[in-house]
Amino acid sequence: MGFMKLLGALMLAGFFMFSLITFFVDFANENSVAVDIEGNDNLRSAQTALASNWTGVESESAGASTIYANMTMESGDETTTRGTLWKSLTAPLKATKNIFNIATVSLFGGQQEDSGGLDPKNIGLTLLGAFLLIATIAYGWKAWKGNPD
Amino acid sequence: MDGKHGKETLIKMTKYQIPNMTSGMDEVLVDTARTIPSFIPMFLAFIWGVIFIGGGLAQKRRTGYMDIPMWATVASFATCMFAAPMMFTSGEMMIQGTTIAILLSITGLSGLWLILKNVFGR
Repeated sequence: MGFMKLLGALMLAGFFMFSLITFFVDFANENSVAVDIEGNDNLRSAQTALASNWTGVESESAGASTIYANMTMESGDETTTRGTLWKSLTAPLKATKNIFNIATVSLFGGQQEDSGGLDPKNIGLTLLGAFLLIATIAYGWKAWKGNPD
Repeated sequence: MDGKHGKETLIKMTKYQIPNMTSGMDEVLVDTARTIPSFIPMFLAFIWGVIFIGGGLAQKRRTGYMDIPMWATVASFATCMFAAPMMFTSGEMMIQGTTIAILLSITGLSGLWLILKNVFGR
């Protein structure tokens, strides 16, 4: 099923990024290298955000299973008419957003606070992120409704 | 020398000492990075490009298809492994934390691309 593949893929992507940053931070710590990885705010905040996403996955899946356990159905009902069960599983999407955050800050210099708007350098990445977001929503919709192709 | 033609005003290339080649490859890298700070990022970009283009074209020659996200991920990962020991040198640093952050971002984005391509593309 497409939705399960997508959910697993986004979780794996977030875990990949988290373990990569953690590997480098631990590598730097254990070998007491000259480069201060922990002093890099972008890497540090991305690691913290991705770690909290994992706690989010755990609590959200617990919530989804509670919804599933408490779900009542009459005979002849559609199983997931409203999709309430899946609405709470947003942590993989947040992890993806965090990957884009660190890439935006590291590669494109981040959003300028004083300009009050979108930095021209970020437009490319924003377009890519927006497309991925729309495609993700459409794909999730397709997974249980089957409408868009 | 020749003031008439204004040769003193020419901007001259920076000269640097030839690195000591007898003390090993690592000393050469450190010496060059000390003189030219952009050497290491360019070196890492070279490694990335060699693995990406070389691997991708080899795959294309054999299978007629180049898996761009996969080779981007493989190249980024290999470049990360090259970059990690460069953090060891004390004194003048070979590699900066910013370079590591950029490298990790590219690796993360490549991995996301690879994983999403395998979900959306099938």
